[in-house]
Amino acid sequence: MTTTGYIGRRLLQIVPVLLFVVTVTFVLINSIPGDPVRILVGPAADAAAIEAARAKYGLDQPLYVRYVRYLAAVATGDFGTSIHYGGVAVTEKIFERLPVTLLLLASSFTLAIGSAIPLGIFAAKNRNNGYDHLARVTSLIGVSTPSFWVGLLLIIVFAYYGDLLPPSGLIMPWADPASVDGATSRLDVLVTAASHLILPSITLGTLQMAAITRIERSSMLEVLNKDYVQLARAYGVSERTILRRQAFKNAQLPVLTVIGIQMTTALGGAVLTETVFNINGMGNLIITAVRAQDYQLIMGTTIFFAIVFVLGVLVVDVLYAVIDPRISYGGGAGE
Amino acid sequence: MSDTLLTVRDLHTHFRTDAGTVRAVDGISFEVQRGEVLGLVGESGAGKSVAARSIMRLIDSPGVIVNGEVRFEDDLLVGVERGDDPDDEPRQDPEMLSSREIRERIRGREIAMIFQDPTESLNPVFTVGEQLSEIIGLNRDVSTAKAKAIAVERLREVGIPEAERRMDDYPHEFSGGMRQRVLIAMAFACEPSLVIADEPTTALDVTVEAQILDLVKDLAARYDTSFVWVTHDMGVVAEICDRVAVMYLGEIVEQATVDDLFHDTKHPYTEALLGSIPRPDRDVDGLSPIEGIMPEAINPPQGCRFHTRCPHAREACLQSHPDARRVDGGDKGSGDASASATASADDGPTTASTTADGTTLTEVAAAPHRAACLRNDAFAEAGYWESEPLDDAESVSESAASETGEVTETGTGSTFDPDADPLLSVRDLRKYFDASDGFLDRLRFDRDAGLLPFSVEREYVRAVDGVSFDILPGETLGLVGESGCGKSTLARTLLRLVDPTSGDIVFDGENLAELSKEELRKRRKRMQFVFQDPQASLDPRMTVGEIVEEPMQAHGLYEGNREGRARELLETVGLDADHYNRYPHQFSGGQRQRVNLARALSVDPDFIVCDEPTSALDASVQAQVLNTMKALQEEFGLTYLFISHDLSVIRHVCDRVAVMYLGELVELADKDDLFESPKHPYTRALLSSIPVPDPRVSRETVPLSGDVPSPIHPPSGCRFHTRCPSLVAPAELDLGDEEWDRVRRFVRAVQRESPDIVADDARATYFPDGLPAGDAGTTVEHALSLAADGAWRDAASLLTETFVEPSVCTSEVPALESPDELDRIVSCHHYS
Amino acid sequence: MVPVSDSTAAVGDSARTGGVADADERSAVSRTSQVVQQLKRNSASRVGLYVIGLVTVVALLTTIDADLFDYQFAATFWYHPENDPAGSTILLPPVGIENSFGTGTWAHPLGTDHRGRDVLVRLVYGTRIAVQVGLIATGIGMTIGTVVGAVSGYYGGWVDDVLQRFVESLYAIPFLILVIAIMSAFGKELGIAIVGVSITTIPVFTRLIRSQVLSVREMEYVEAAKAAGVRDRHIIFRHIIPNSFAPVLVQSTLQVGVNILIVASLSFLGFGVQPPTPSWGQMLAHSRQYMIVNPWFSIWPGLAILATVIGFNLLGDGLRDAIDPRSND
Repeated sequence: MTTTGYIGRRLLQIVPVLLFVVTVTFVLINSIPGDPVRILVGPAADAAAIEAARAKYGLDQPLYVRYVRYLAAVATGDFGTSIHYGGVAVTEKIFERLPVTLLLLASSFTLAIGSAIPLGIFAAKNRNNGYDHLARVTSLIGVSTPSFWVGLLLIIVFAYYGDLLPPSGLIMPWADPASVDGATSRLDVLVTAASHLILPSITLGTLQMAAITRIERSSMLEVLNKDYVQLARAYGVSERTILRRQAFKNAQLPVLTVIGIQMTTALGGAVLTETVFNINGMGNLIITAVRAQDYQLIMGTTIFFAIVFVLGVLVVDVLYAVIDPRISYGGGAGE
Repeated sequence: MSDTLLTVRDLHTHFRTDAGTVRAVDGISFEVQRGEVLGLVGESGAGKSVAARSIMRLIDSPGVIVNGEVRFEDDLLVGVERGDDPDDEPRQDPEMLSSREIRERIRGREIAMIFQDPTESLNPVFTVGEQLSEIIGLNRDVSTAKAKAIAVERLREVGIPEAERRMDDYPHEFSGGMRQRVLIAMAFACEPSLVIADEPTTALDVTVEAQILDLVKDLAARYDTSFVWVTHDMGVVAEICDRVAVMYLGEIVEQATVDDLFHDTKHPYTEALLGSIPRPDRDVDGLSPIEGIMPEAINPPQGCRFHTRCPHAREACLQSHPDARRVDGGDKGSGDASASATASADDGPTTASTTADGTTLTEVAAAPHRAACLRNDAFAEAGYWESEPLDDAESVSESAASETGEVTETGTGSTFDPDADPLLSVRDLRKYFDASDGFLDRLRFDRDAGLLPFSVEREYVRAVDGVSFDILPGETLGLVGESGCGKSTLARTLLRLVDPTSGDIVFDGENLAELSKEELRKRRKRMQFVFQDPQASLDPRMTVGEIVEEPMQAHGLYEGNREGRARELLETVGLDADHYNRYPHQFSGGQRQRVNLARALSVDPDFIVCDEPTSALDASVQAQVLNTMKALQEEFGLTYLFISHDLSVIRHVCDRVAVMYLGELVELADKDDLFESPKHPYTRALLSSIPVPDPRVSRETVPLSGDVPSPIHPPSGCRFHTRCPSLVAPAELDLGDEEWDRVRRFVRAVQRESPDIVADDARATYFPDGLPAGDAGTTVEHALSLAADGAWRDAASLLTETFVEPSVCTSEVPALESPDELDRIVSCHHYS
Repeated sequence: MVPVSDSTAAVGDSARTGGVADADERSAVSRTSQVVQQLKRNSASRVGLYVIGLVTVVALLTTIDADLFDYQFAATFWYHPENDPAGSTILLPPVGIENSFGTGTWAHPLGTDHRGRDVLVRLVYGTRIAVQVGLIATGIGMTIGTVVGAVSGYYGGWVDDVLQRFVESLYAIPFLILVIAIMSAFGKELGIAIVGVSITTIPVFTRLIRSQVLSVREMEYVEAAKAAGVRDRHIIFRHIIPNSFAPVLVQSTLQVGVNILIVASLSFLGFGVQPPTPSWGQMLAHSRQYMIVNPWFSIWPGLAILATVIGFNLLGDGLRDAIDPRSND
């Protein structure tokens, strides 16, 4: 079977998962104690207004009818409207915030992966000496630290005491220079965007970095013990080439798995990071929605978080299939 | 003249662990001559792999070469001298090559290596071509393009069909045997003078092993390559080695030419080792196992290390450590001045002899025969060895194997009545496994499937496909076949550990296939199973006592006296009653298998299925366990189904033998009939593949082409027809027997892409009397011209179309020779 | 198939387990006591054990005081952790450090918060929330997850298919988002937080135990028991569960750490335990506004969380190494 076939199958597997996510969200929101319509129309509304709203939102229908309707609406991309934002379509709000969160995620993962892989390899190479111990202790601290606390400490040190980097907000690198404070050219925007991105990315990336360093180290150690590495040594391949070529690709397989698992932590972390740095992304949106009891918005953001997660995992799976030629072939059963 | 390539002197490699220093290699010396194959043989833990790796300094922490000298031609690979104080750092000879020098000048270029497990030796994420060309480019300083060309050429040479196309395949797309061929291609591609091969055929089936041995012999002769061949298999030693060094507990105890080693054995360990292995070519009356177990290399016995297990041990063996001395009478070496008196001077100097494969040993005959045993020392003259051996209690370890050993010397096989009603009758048994894991795995991407580009496919692995036979009470039926033939599945299906897809299993008049789960559970006390892996089959969290008592508990037997019964059973199988409270990890492999036997016996069964019960054990321990099993059979009147891939073991223990191929029984016969006059071509090929542990016995291997086909889509007609060397000629071609033989040879050569085919005299080589008349001749002509153009695939498929597909073997399932009588089965068109 | 390679690994192995010869002198050693020995020898896991021990004792004592005596002990011998003290300076730094509100004294070793409450006493009383939620949520999640995973793995077939889809989908909603969604529906109390965190913990254990059961089920000793006629129930309880349990133990230890982090994150976002009950996450949330004037207020609760989680991680790593010596080095 081909890699295309493999991706096709994975895509197909996503459908039931998303269906379930929508269902869980729907059930959750509909099991709220009390009358959701009251919350929708506000406490001041009279009985007639309530009935009107009930009819308008279809809440006079039985639960399963509402469920099917919601499914149908979601399938066509209609996630309802947000009360908190004055009747704006939920999708519109989400698409406004989504790029911010994606940018944050992308930059923090780049940072985490970019630093963790060399760190982990270096630790494996210098196994059991001082550097290795340092790397292990550091990554242990990294996986044990609350990310929002890291954010607070970074703000104290770099923004307040050091006055080096901005403590809040995020500027998109493609923003219009006119809309960015003190920027006159594209370069200015890019510099400002980068300076805003550094602290949140470190905050969000610390945990990922620590987790990836740990797995990179242990997976590298395991691969370096494999017969094919021994064979390469027996054929005079230098340790450098072994690390860079023979071992590297193989060692990344468990790392990819961990990155996939980290995806869920990272999305939760994005909510916290956006809160700490006052960034208007998806995380802040869902917190706002919960505070305002804006249920259509809660459902929409939850589902979109799930979509981002599932697609992220899909990317990881595809990378896995690209690295490991065995994956796209069904394993035949033996004796 | 002799030309020494490699010299190893007093090499010590130790591993420093928390528990102490493991002296894996402890003072070994040997030489390898140019063009010679030196066997390094021994049981697990002997240190042979570590020795082989020490040559190239491929020892990982915590291993350290603490002393010794390894000289390869003019280079000093290892030059380390240990000080008198063991805590001192060893002194390094300034002449010794640096890590960089050894890497750049020696590894790969001068000395190449082949490992045991071909599955693990190739990197799964790179194509075979990438890996080969990288290594070749590195070691022969050639461009990538040139390296690729060499790689293709070498792949073709080691017998990989369509080599050019297969360069782009990944290792998992090759079978185990093919992968080992790739690794051999890699070794020879670098044109080294020496190849170190670490059990290179151990993980392979016998038929594949035979092919690989032939290939290596061929290549070694062509390129004049020397070998250090590490193995535990005396058959392989006899087959391929010129000279042999036998290792025991980190030391070389005997070193001789292969003929001397087998026929003028000088060391008691070698003697014992040879006495403990069953022979594929004749019946052996009772194996004599080596008593006890190999001591730990961490704390080897004082004096002669073998004295704890040696049947000849005397007082002196406990104190003085014997040196390796010449035992062949001649003594030219100045270093061996003390070895003037030898025990076997009457044998005279070794003369040039010829091994089975025809390699003359004239060049290596000068190499002395050495053995490290006091028996060969000065004591021999004083008549010391006439005295009584040491008391058993002193010299032989605690294992009670000796008792059971005695019992077995009496009988060579079980006695059973061939006309009795069968204990177990199997009729048309089938077991298919679903090849896919779940619904989504069955989905296949399919562009032509319309709206949704997917189709659903169900595939089955036909592991057992229509098997019928009987097992008579009191007999041992052997079941033999290569890995993947379905023998283990058949065993598990027989006892309904997996449910059969269809068919009957009648045990003592009752069809097991129809019983309910609870009824079946109750019947289980009459039939037991002994597994292959003695470690995995014992729950690590339970004591041996709990393990043996568990089946009694399940069937409510021996209420109140289970502990007594368990202790008694432990003694019956040759363990101590005191082992009752131990955990499995505290035992050696052989002892664990005894615990398994005790568990099986705990419910007084009639029938025991043994699935490769000794294949995870060393030869000497295997003999102990086999003897115990035979003794138990006599004592308790047991019936065995004995599954093995090892035909020598099968010959030793079985009364009748069934041969399986791709889920089907191809032949079943009395042991003697089967081994003396095998009928099915597959049986013949299998028997011819086993290496005989005797260099004087020559064998002619029946070559099997290709790999075992997939059990998901088994071949039509006779399943063996794709590899059969004696396919029945298609009727319409009207070929004479001799002509058909030539055609078959020609077809095989084309399939193998043999270079002979494209040579100018191909016609004369393959058809000395001219091409066959009619269609056959035209096809051969056509195939020759296709091959000449390099279109091997087209040539091969043309030949298949004309000669293979019309054969009755391809189209029809062979009928059984005597479908009603199941005591002799041959499933082949030649006999139907 | 196939035996016998005396590779370096084999040498190391036999050296580690010891042979029968010297096993004679030893008493019968079970695997469990081996693991305990191994743990004792590992100094990192010893540190982990001490941290966990300390934190648990503190959590236990403060819970007794808070729930049974309504902070009487704290109020009598120290400060009341919840009530605003009269006349105390707000946002004091720790001992010996000066800020715009004053200089730290031994009266408040770690300083005071924005309402003049002692930071140390709130830190100590915040322990119980972290430990309670960490342990309870992990316990519930582990129990449900283990049962679901064991059933799924042992029975296979459609049961497995349905349960796996369910768990996979639960996994698809990032867990912090899932807990937030749950709490937005059912309320922000501590109890709901525990339930929410438990739910997110289920898939972790379901996956783990299922894969364990799948591999243990195929072990030859399970087949051997089956062949001997041992009943299914017996096989599950005597062979499968004990042999699958080791990784569950490791994972639960690590998971307590993860769950403490999640609870702290929730408190930081304003979910979970509500003021004035002291909790570390909430203290951090409050400290945000005073980062410039008194950064110490942000540092202490973070350190408390870090130390506790490190404790669980050290023990978990140590357990894993002790159970499977190859896993790390």
